[in-house]
Amino acid sequence: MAKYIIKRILYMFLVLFIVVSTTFIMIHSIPGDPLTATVENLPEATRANYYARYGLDQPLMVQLFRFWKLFLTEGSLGESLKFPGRLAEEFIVKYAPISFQLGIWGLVIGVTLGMLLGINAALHKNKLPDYFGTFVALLGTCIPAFVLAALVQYFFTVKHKWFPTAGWGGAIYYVLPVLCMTLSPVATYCRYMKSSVLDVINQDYILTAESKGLPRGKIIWRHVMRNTLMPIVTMLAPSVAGLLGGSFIIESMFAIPGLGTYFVKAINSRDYTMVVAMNFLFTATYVFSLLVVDLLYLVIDPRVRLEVKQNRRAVASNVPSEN
Amino acid sequence: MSEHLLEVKDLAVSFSSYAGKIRAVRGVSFHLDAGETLAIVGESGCGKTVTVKALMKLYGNSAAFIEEGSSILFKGQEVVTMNNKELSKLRGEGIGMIFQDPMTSLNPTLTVGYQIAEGIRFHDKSVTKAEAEKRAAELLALVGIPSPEERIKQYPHQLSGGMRQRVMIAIAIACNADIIICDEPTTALDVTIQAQVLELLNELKEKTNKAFILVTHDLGIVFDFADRIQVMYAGVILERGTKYELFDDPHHPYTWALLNSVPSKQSQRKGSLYSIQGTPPDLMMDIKGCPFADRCDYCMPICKERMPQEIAITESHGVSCWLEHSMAPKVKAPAAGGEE
Amino acid sequence: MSQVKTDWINDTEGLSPEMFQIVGVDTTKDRVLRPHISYWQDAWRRFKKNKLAVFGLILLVILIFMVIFGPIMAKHSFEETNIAESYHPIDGEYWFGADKLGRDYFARVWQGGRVSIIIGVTGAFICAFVGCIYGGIASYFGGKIDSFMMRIVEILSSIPYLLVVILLSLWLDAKGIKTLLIAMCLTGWTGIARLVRSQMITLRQSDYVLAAKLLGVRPLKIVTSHLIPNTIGLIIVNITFRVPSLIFSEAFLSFLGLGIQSPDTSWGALCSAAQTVFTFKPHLMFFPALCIALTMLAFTLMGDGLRDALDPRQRK
Repeated sequence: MAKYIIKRILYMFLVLFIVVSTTFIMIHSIPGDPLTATVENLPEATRANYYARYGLDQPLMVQLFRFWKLFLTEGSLGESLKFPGRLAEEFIVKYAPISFQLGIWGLVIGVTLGMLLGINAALHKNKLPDYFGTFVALLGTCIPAFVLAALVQYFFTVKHKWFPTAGWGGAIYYVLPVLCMTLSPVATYCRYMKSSVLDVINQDYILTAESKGLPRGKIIWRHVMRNTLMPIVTMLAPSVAGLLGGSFIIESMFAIPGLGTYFVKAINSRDYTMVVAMNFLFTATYVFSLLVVDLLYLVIDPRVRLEVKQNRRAVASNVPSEN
Repeated sequence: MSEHLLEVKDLAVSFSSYAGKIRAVRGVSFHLDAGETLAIVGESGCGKTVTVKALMKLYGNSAAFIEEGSSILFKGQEVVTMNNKELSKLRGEGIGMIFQDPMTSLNPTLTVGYQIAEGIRFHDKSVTKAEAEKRAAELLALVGIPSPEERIKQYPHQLSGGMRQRVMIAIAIACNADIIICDEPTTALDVTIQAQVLELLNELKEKTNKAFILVTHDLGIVFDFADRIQVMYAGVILERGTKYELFDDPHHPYTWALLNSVPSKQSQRKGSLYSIQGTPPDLMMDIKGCPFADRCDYCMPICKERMPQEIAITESHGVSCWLEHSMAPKVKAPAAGGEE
Repeated sequence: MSQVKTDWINDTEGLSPEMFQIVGVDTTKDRVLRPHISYWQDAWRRFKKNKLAVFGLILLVILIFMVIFGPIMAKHSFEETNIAESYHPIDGEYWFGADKLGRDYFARVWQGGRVSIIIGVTGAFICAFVGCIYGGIASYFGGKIDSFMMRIVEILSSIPYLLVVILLSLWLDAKGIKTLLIAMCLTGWTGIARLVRSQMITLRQSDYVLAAKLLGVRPLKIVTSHLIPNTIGLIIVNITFRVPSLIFSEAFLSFLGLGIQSPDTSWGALCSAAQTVFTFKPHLMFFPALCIALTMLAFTLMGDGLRDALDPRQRK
């Protein structure tokens, strides 16, 4: 068991290393550089100085090596090219918590709500809760987050002034952005939960449980829930990544000082260090959530646990996760 | 007429589907007493499983319902009108069920010990977790699983098919049900394992005073296990009787056909096994006459017009067939072992 | 059986001797009850039965019709600027009004639709094509090659596609359909590759493929008559769901300003432009947003219907 977990963690670092290195190479091989993006007609000497200072005159592989060396020895992601003297991780420490909070709230509320709606729909098939669930799911799949954000802003802040228009401060500022971010996970998880529950309650072992005389609530809790969770858990990792990506738009629309806004800015100003640093963060989040999903499998499914014990399980989960 | 443990009258069960109503069981009546074993025999889709599931109103997620006018009396209590609470008590404490496929009938994410103990604890709230587990281990020992204390901690996928069916049996008897329904308990098992499971069921029968209902299409296992047999076809009972009556003196052409389609030494010598022509009738349709008429070698015009009533050959032996009528030609059952 | 009447056998009322002539099984009746229906005929029949799916199909046909003929029907070209008509209200001349530069919004919405739908449909097909080949190859070779190829898939799907788009648009030094398509397809095919691979592996282990092999059926025939028909349904369904998600992504990127650039346009770009004036001119947001929503709806409903119709596992 421990061997499997260690293997899995090592694998996570390997993926992280490859992805970050790839993006590092990609972004550094783009024509143009931070200087040309901001200032034109710069004297050649200044440019050379500047390149030398950041090591941009070195071969690509040397730069990559330096990047990893710096990270591994000092835990630093490097100096921002646009804001000299400031380190990339300073920005991350400052802005990431806001983005993550938004994303996590959106995900937690969205997934919970979606799952509840989905279960309810499946248990009352072809009745009101089912139609309601289908309706919400359709709404969520059909309306882009930015349209919802615009509508919500217009209705709640401009027309009724129930919420502050834009800006960032206390809990009240979270309400509308989080609301907009929950829609998509609500829809997705409602759909999946419904089909998953329907799949499980048609299994023979549910009939066995019924034949024991167990009441419906107990059957659903004990026998249905755990078995429906498995396909759902697999979807969590892509969802985490998706929500972080989705928060970009919400952040820009609600003028939230989160990472998303800085990411776009960093790219437009060719701030290589910042782009690589943020990409590092996003990839790490995604790979880490994949790991968590794999470990959750160990907890939920005894079959997986057995496979792991017998060393039969491949390193990565081979569950098809695509919708 | 003394009170039976279970008395079923005019039971009719239908499924609603969007193509129309499927009338799976079309009025069957029978009874069961403590300690005896009743076998319900028939080919796939004849309504035998639906009938026994109706005894505890067990339909899972399907759109089945019991038609009006049906009556199921368990110890004098009407099952058809029971509410959820009474049903909970009936299931497990009154009637236990063993399902066809042990590979899919156990929850893969819970230990077998839990799955046995869960029923016990639900029906008797005073039992502690430890006691229930101990009882589960005892039950596993009773159904012949070695080292039960370790087995209760295992998950279904760690057990073989035969073991799982033993676990199913343990679940069915866990709460001392008066009736154990065995729905094709050996169909999904290897032949050698089949014999072991049947032997176990026979043992249980002798040890306890439980009544058993065996649902099967396998006439081979019926004779060893059952006391009485009823033959079902397209949702109705065509013939019933003790096993000796049915095996030695069958009256219905369908029973003849069933008995003839069991491989025996004679049929092997003759080289071909008897098979019944055609397919069972569409259960969505109304059937005017005898449901078997279309496939019956002895079909008469009347058979397609009216359903024959049941006639009693002896106290326990009944048959629904026009051949029994005084105007019908006298035909003899074909000798076992295939077509002449 | 005390309740059974035995005297019934002597009751001859209304019965005649002819009714008791043994005729046996009527073998003249044709045994084939229903005509043979092929997989696709059956799928089409099932699809037609699903009213929502048919509604989705009709909606899609209308949308595609408008996308093709809308810009022609409009009284002005989608590029034609006319500052004098800035924010022209909705009337007989400008059916959806005009934007800030006085361009006919009706023409722009449908022109934008062309871009959105082309990206969605082409992208989905490219992804499906690449994914099928990749997944097919991985499952065909199996073993080490398979797990190596799947590791690549995992790594590729770990790269945020936003980053890929941005990098590509900087790299190709162009923002437009081509860049968007390349970027979205670069990582988008991984899902279908996994799907095809796992389906192929399941199929190859299935009993009927084994049976076909034992009967001496040639490998090519097994591929064409067992593997492909049993995978194609899944792929079609996946394409149907992929199209709206690509349209969504396009809208998202255009909204961020990373997609289609003016004067060319797409629904996402239109929404993005309308966002700043949303409070005063809500209809500028409304039309493209509605179009996106309707397209999503059409594809989702159709995809659901297709899944139910094509997935053999759903059959009962």
